[in-house]
Amino acid sequence: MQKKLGLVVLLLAFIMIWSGSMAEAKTLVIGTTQEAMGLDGRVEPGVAEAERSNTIMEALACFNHDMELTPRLATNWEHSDDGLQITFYLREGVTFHHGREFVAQDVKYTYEWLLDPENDAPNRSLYVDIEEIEIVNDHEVIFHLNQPNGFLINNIARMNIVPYDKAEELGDQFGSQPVGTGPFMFDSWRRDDRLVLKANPDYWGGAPKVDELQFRPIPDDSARLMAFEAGEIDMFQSGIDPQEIERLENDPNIIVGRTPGPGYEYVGFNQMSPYMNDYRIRQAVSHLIDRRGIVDHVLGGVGSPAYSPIPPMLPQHHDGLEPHAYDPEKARELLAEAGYPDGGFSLTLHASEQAHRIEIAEILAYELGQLGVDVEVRIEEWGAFWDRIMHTTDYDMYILSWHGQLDPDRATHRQFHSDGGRYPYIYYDNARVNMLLDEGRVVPADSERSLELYREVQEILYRDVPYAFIFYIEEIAVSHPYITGFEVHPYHPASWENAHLFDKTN
Amino acid sequence: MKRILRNKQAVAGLVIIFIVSLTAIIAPYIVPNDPYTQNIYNRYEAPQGFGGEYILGTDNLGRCVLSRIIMGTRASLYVGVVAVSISLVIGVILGLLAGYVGGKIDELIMRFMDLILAFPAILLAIFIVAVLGPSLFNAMLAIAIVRIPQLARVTRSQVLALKEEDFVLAARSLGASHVRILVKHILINSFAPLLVIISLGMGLAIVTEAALSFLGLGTQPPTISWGRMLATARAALRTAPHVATYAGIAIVFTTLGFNLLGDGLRDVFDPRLK
Amino acid sequence: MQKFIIRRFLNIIPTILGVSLVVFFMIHLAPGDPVTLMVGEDASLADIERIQAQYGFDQPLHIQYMRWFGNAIQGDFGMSIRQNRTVAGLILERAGATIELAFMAMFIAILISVPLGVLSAIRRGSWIDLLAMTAALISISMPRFWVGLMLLIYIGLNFDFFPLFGREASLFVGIFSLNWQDVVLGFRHLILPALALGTAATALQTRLMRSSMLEVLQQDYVRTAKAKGLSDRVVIFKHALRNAMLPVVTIVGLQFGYLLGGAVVVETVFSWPGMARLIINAVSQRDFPIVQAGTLLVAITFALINLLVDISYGFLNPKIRYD
Repeated sequence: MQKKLGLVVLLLAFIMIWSGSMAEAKTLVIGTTQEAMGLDGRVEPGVAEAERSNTIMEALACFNHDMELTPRLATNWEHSDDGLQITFYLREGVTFHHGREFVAQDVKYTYEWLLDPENDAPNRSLYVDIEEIEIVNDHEVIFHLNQPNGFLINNIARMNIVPYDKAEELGDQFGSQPVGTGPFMFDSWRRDDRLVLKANPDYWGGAPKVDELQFRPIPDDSARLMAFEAGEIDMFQSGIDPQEIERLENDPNIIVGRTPGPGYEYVGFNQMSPYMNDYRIRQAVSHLIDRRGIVDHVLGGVGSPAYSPIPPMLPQHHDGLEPHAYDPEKARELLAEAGYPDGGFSLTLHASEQAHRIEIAEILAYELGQLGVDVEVRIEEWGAFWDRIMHTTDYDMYILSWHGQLDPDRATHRQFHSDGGRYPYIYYDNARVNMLLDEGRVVPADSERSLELYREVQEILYRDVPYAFIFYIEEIAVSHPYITGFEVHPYHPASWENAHLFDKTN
Repeated sequence: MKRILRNKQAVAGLVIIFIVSLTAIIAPYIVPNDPYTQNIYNRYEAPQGFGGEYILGTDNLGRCVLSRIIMGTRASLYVGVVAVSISLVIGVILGLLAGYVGGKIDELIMRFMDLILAFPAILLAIFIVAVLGPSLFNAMLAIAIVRIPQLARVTRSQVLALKEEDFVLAARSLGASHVRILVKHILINSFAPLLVIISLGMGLAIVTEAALSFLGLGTQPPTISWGRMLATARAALRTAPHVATYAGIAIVFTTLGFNLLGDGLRDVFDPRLK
Repeated sequence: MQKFIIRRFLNIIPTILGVSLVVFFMIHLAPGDPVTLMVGEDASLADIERIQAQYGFDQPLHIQYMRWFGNAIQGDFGMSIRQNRTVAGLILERAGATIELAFMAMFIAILISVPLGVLSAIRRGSWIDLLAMTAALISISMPRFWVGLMLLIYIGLNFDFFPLFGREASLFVGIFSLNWQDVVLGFRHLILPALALGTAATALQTRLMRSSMLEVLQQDYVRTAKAKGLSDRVVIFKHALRNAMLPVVTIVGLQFGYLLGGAVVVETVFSWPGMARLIINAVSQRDFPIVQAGTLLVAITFALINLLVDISYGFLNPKIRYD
């Protein structure tokens, strides 16, 4: 008898939960590929961290969907004529989640913390041109610079302002329970399970339309897509198996958003390698990459063939060039010129575990093999791969990407300047390029001279081939038709920073 | 031998193993296409059936799936054979030592085996591959190390059981050397249970290689292994399930062969179950 | 008996010590370090070295190990390098999910394997026996991630009852607190990952149950009971089953070790927020303290379970002496 009663209760419970799950508060669930390590952008510079923390905290400026700088916590800013001062006029009437008003002191605190070497901020080098921050009044600050830096403002747009009182109080725990001015407030976080954020009803840009925002990490690409299709998550960006894209785009119940992103993937050539320091061999490799074929077939059409480090959306992008053609015959000639008409040497090609990189590595190894060059492909786990290109010279070629190339300086200086780039992954050293890049940094970003300088850099790189550029990345996101107000953002970290405009209308 | 041939399971297993081994040996001569030739414009072509150019379709880089599965028998058998051999040699030596010498040595070896057993197998494999770098051989090494304790334990218990048998005692009194006794009398008589473990171990090794490939730690291209085929093709599981399906069938078929044989042998050698 | 338990218990200690030593050196010898992985692409080499020194990574390995060991003995497993939280706290938060998963997998395995094994043994050679044994063989031959993805595609996608990822509530806590809502919710999320994890164990135990039942049925006392005219049902359930369970119990302990290992794959496929994923992520971040403590905990759990198995073995079969 008791057993039967238990069964009935269980059945009732089932029914109650089934019906109960229908009516709940509006919760927007975003799936992600990776869990964040912490939510403090000052110490965790990764994309997984930034895409979350940017819904909680804000920077002085941000990028809109056309990758133009737009006001955020600052309503306006101006550069002085000598380029040594930037004045920010701060938005008034903005309050942090703990109730205090946002003031100039918060800006000063954030940047001084960042610049203090004791704090080990990994991105400190991006801000070292800031000499001093002067508070004019509660809503006006002046950044005094050591030297003109036309691109500093882009980095400022990447750094969220923390409230000085809470940041001091929480110390290194700030990243586990962040406080900001953003549209959503931190609520709870169980790692590898979910980050729960509550709507900030007092948000200066208008209260969010949903009550709650959740980030759910789902590491497996197929599982994430299935969870999305089953409606368990509302949207997610990147990490979609290329094979699925056509099907998804033809499905009327799924919205696929695509937009070119500021980055590219490339094959890097270690110039310390006796073979790869010959530009003809590098050119040969570049001519063996069927960029169109790779984009259309390996990547499911997402991306576009690349030929320069400065992405097409930036004004300094050189549009008078075109990708090195796929031409095995020309590659053979180039190898012959370099003294290897029948190949006869071997190279190593390293890549981390992303599926498309393994595929590109296999393609390249096959193509080079056809010319008698023996390529040993080594797919390594990310930590080992990163360690290799950071701390050793034990590699000939590797496949990697650069993301977030928000300005021509970020897209070239670290990569191709012989001592400006701190990690010489490829040990490239070209006096002319060094000179051009140095000058590019100090001339105004919107000047004619800036265009000229970077044009020449791109032409040199095109001939010299320190990298063989493969494709410009394209951001891709999927959402359900009942989600409104969402448009895929070209800069992944900024994807959800306007989540207060998203709504769930079912 | 006759007893083995009378056991249906063992025979079925032997037939499968024979087919797979034969395929591995003559693989280069029977592949319909070059298994390495790529054509990315022909990615994930559906199976065309007999008469078509790609009977089982193409994979993620437009390579012939059937040819790759045929060539893949080599890596999979290779993984199984080498991994099992490594674990067999080390496991048997340790087991013989522990059982025959006994005392402190026995204690030490068995504690060491406990240590390996206390590791979850996949974690241990991950560590080994992290330290040594991913490659077919390191994957085999990882698989082998995990299997050592079982072999050592079984050998040891055989030694303990046989050590006091009359024929061993007789050999000893006739002045046979320790090595001679160990090999000629004890090892030979431990053959049956070891064969069962070897055969089951082969199956396990092939499946473990697939799991390592799933975690990105398995074989490196251009080596063709079913595990990597399966792990790669899972991205297209819903749009082009053929690659994963056939690679999966190959793994299951071969593993089944070894498991059938192992089971059959156990029945044969363990007359209590007759 | 008491003596045996104490000796076995003491034997665990060198094993655990060895595990901690091996893990420590392996993870530190593997290429890649947490600081380089943490700081990303904009930090300078000098910065990296300075931060490494702050964590003491510039000191000789044996000194680092001694320091870690000294703290660990006092129950202090240190702070996670990346997450700014105590390792003990992180592991405690996750252990429940993994234990629940492993237990459920084992529960399912026993639930299926015991009756199926018995049935196959009684009806030896029948179609049910053949079917069960074939299914078991095939299940053992399938990689776990494969089983997981199949379950997601064919069951998860087609039946709303089974969610595709994550964990919403603890089934066990739900049962103990009589919170039916949690029980149902926990069950719905748990069932597919547990099935994926438990398939191989189920297959193995079914086979074992069958062969051990066959063996017992041949024994004299069972024959005697039958000869005395007792019904098959009484013979099987009163006499044979208990003895046939013995080898299955042994294997359960060993299986737990495999389940904890298999959880690595299953937790990834099903986004299960458990310890295996914590450890795997920590390996890829080179978050040494988490890896060390996590592996150690797994090893201790495994050792203790095996000890329990050995002891219960004694209770089930009083003929076995401990010496």
